[in-house]
Amino acid sequence: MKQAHDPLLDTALADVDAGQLTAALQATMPSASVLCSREAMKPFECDGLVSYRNMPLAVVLPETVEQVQGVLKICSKLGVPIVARGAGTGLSGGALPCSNGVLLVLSRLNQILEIDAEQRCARVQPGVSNLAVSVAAELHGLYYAPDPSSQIACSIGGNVAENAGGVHCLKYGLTVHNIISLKLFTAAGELLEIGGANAGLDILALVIGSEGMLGVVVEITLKLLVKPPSVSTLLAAFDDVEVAGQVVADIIAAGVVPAGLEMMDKLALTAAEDFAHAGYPRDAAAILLVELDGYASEVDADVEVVQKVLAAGGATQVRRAENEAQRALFWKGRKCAFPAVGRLSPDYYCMDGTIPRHTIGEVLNYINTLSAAYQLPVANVFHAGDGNLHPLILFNANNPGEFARVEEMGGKILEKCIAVGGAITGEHGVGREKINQMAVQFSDAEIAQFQALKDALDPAGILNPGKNIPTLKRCQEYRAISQCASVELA
Amino acid sequence: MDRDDTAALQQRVVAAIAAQQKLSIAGGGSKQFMLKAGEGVALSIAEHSGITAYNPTEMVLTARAGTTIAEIESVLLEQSQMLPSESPGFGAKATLGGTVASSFCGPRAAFAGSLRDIVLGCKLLNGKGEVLSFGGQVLKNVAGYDISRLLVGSYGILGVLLEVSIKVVPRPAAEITLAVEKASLQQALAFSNKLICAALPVSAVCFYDGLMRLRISGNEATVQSLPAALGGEVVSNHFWAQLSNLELPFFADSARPLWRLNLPATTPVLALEGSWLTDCNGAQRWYRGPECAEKIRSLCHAAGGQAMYIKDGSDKIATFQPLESNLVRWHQQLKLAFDPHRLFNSDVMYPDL
Repeated sequence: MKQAHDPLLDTALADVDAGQLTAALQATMPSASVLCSREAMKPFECDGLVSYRNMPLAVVLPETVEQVQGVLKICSKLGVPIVARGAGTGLSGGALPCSNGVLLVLSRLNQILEIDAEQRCARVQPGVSNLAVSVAAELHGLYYAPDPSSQIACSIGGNVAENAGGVHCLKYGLTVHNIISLKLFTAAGELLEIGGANAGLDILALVIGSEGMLGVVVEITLKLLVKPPSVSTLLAAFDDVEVAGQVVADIIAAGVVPAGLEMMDKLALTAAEDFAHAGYPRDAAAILLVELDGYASEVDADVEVVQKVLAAGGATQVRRAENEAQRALFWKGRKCAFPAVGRLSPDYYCMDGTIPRHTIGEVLNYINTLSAAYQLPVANVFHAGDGNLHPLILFNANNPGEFARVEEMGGKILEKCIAVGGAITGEHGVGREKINQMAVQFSDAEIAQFQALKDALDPAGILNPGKNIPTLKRCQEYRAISQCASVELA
Repeated sequence: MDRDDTAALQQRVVAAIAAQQKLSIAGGGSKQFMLKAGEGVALSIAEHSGITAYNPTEMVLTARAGTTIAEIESVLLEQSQMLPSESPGFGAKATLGGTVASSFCGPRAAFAGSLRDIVLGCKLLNGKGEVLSFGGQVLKNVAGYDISRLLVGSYGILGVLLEVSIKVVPRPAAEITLAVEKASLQQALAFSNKLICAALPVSAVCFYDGLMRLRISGNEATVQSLPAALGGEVVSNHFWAQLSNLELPFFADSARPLWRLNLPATTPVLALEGSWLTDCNGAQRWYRGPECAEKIRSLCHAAGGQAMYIKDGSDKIATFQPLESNLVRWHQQLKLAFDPHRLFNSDVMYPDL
């Protein structure tokens, strides 16, 4: 388990009078909405990255926007750190509580305020789940495009904080491409409306993906898209992972932009097949799922092109989903891949690097080399179309020292992503988890620019401290340590 | 042209800090007609040019800021790709840097992606004279704050764009433009939205003078089957280049001031006397008429939009819709975070920025 407070990463903890804080919070909202006991706060000590845990001073669950503002005003006045949390499904420790702070849980702000079918948009509160928006919009033949695998549970507010992606980003973009405007509170509790047709700088784009460091979002206007009348999904099997990687690039080179283009390696596809019975070929070294959607005559032509590319590229088998039920089954396997892999091992660690598509084969080979050197199995299931890897490192947290080895190996994968021209995180965020690798991806001057930006908008530094942007001191230390690698690669 | 001027530009900024000299960033000068000149001496990025990376299978192109849009489009054309934003080349004058800084998009942007949608990364020379890289050449990247997108449409007030990576898209196999008579904007938008709801691959919608122009982009079979189904007359696709480059007769009339309004697409026709050209399926509207700035801006604001005044030689009217009062402080703070000595493009957007 990770140390909660790290003097190198974090500024000194401010002196907070816990009694004064809880009294003020209880005066702002019903006392049942303020949790202070260890037992009551226990479920909130971590997000989806369960190996990082920490207890806050208090957990608050406001039911109104005014209560959120009240909490911010109190914390701003007392100089108390605030960590906002949605559904807690994040995988980078972005909602890890601060030990001298308040955890602001927005799950009770869960209303879909309006669906405007004519303008094709929805106005929602941050605690609404991602999937709930598409379910509500379905009545009008519309849907919300970003679809992270956790979409049943994850909240729109959390999606905004992390700039969440999903399996359809290649064609329909990330959260940042699908948000029209936001209402947010500044650290001091002032309400701002950003985006829409507001003049000035594109502060909306800046806030999306800022991991709750610049403001607390309380209302979101989302773009809704027309459900495509025609959808077709292909499943292709390969007897070599690298060949499958090359075919991903070939499909794009053929001028087709699939709605989804996913890849799973042998370990992942076998686990998914065992779990979901999706009909995946167990003897394959890798499979690709290619989804094409849109106007019927466009989809038909694209399917023809992709089928030719798959055959020419060495697919051993290509199947087209014959009906909606089979299409749903193909995807069920993919969407269940994380929990399915989870059954293979007591614990797994999910990475999130992105790389240029033409390096997929090279990076997968490197991961295999690491896997052998560290003696840790890795399952790969990822968004191949946009080069977003999700290596799942299998381990057992009860084996002393094993998690440290996993983290070291994970760090190496991320550094490889940077070396081939990619990034340390495509959609899960930096959070607490990847803060070391920020020092590899960015120079001191760049980190200092991020900090200047943060200081400009949250001068007291109370919003989600210790996440996303490391201190310069931490960067220098990490660069020095990482010079001497502990496991030699063969 | 392939030339790296980074060191020279950096020296100019360092010298400007020492001399307390303000700098006005200039590219090809293609947008001078619409903007206020910045204070201070010119800092030209036009020579800092060249495509530094382009791998068609990645659908990403990286170029120095002085590279012209015309050069980029011609290189993309060889690979049957294009800029989704359909940003105008204004002859061979418009540069990538100026285009991104002004977020200047064409008719396809509303359907295929605007500049802020397609920018993946950038190199920035900030007001401390530091060269910084943000984002990258991959489609998904959430490491650190999204500074690349913040710079789109920032009109150079935060620093000098040195290099930009953008996502490009395949060029459609076939395109067709139809001209259909419609009595009103409302009828035109009802028609186009019906097509969009049927998932037809519409890639541009414009309405003026009682005529709606509609572009469909797809494969040969789709495109050929449509004119009969939709009615109207097939006209030249060149119309969209003329619209994008502001070369239609509508833009030639210089007797009345020109405004560009960005509004929610379904906004009814605003009660302003004059002539209109509506682009982007209703979301962008060009207006020429006698109405005063206050009236235009207040109607626009009430409709949830903003109006940009396209300078006609006089500088008396502010270019941009005023900032909401509670956003002013964030703008001022952001300016100082990037440009603490206030070197760049003073007054181009707003006074004191």
